[in-house]
Formats: sequence, C-alpha cells, structure tokens
Amino acid sequence: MRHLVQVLASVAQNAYLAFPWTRTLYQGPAKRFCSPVSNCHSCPAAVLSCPLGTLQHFLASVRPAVRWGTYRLGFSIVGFLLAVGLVGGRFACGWLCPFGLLQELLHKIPSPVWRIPKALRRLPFAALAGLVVLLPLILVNRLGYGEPWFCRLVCPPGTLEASGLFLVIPELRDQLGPSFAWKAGVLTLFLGWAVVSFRPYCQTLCPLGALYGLFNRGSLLRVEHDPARCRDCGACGQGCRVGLDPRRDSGSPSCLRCFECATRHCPNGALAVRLGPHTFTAPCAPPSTRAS
Amino acid sequence: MSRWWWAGALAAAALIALGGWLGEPGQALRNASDVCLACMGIG
Repeated sequence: MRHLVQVLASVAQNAYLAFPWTRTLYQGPAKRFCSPVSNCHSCPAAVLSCPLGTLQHFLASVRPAVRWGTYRLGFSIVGFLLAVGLVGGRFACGWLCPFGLLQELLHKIPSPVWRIPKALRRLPFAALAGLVVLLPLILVNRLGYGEPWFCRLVCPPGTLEASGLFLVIPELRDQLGPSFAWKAGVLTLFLGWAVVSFRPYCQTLCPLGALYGLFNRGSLLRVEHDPARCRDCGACGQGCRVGLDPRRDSGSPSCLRCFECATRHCPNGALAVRLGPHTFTAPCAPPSTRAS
Repeated sequence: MSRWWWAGALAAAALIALGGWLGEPGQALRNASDVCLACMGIG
C-alpha cells in the first residue's frame, strides 16, 4: 500500500510528460505551489516547486526584496512547511518522496545491511541551518543576492532530477564543470549507500526531513503506544528500519512515519496510527492477540 | 490538540495568507520556471 502511494505521488509530482517535445520546463500555474517533499523544480517533468529550492530562493533575495519594498521574504513557504509538519510530521518523507522511494528500491538489492550510526542523524540539522538558511542569507554578491547553497553543493534529488534537462537541452552539457562532477559524486555516494543502508540521504542529510522531524512529537498524524497491550516482545524495534524503538521513540525526529511498526511488526496491536482524535489500530495484528 | 499545535496552525495560516497577499506564489512560479543552474551543477 505504501509503495503504491509512493509511486503515485512520484508520478503526480512529475506529470509533465510533454517535455521531450516542448524542450522546456513545465511553467504552468501549478508551479506556484510547492510539493511537500524534495522534488527538484528543474526536473523537466516537475509540475510543482521544490520547497527547499523555493525557500533558498527567497532567503537568497531577502536584501533586494527589502531594498525594493516587495517584502517577499518567503512567508508563504515557511507557513506551508509549518502546516505540513503540524499535520503529518515526516509523513511526507515516508509516503510521498520520490527520492525516498528510489532509495528504498535500491535497498531491496540483496546485500549486507549497515545501520547508520545515530551520531550521523544530527547532520541534517546542520545542513538545514547552514546550507539552507544561513549561507543563502549571508554570502551575497554586490547586488545583495545569495545562492541556493544546498542545491549548489549537495542536493542529490536535484542532481538526479534536473539532469533530465540534459536529455532535452543537449547544449547544457557543454557547460558542465567541476561543480557537476562534485554533485554527481555526492549523488552516486548516496545511491550506492542506499543499497546497504535504509534511506541514507533521509537519515544523514535531508534538511526537509530534519525540519518535518521537529514536528513528529506533536503532529496530528502520529504513532501511539498502548502499554496495556504491549508485551515487550521488541518486534517493533527489530523491524524498524531506521533503528528506533517505537515504544519509546515514536516521536523521534528520525521516524519516517512509514507506520510499519504499527501495521506490520507489532503482533499485539499495541501500536496504533492516530490522526487527531481518531485511532487506527493495526489491521494485520491477529485478532486473538489484540485484547489482553 | 495542544495549545501549541493550534498556535502553530494559526501562524501557518497567517504566513501563507501574508505571502499570498505579497505575491509570493507568482515569484515562486518565476523562480521555478527558470532552469536552475545550481540544481544542475552548472556554474
């Protein structure tokens, strides 16, 4: 079910399939709005803006916006990110992100599994604060414009998706330089890493996931643990692919909100998905073990 | 829902409305409709 939603969401966000003929990006009205996940708006098929790219664009032009009195400082994108986080926490990561889906598919390749150390899970917060917020604000040219540094230096989904333009505008290939080689290297690193680790980009770099993760503890959609039903078998923790123990850590910023702990792993119905006041008990929990 | 959640929801709605009033969606459309050389690793 989740993979089906991920595929549908990926297709829906990249539904402009006329680009091989038009040889341009989609420029229609839908691009006024952001996708909730990292989906590069320079992907020729993208029909929505990327929230990270949009946020950086606004932050990079704060000084000119103030100087010229437009005051377009990115209020709407901040409000949008706040709203997505408040409703679902990292739900968008687990269910809607195309790059997350790609990493999960790569992780299905049979290989040894390497669990990502917890210390690396702080890096996304550094990327968010440094590359997404501070550098675009601080490093500006003579006209007062900054750069989208996260896009420029690392963003693997952007490298992958924007590279689609090289297929339709071959002239752009002549302008490739060390910057592209660096970004392609970062992308290759994460795609290779995804074979042995579960969604390494999401766990160690994604600033958007870091931001949404801050809302995991109080979002409308969340996982709830019922100690009365729990038999402490530990199946949820053993099954969690980001190495959390959902009995204690269901509000952790690292939780991708895949809900597999509640819907696949807990045999006792002790973990439930909650949407505000509504509770959805695990459908796969055997009925005989639900009541205790 | 806690008071913090409702305060956050109110703030989100206010920020989206303010951005819309200032014309930010149109700016976002222009930003996203240009080929982003940073995204493509050019420059």
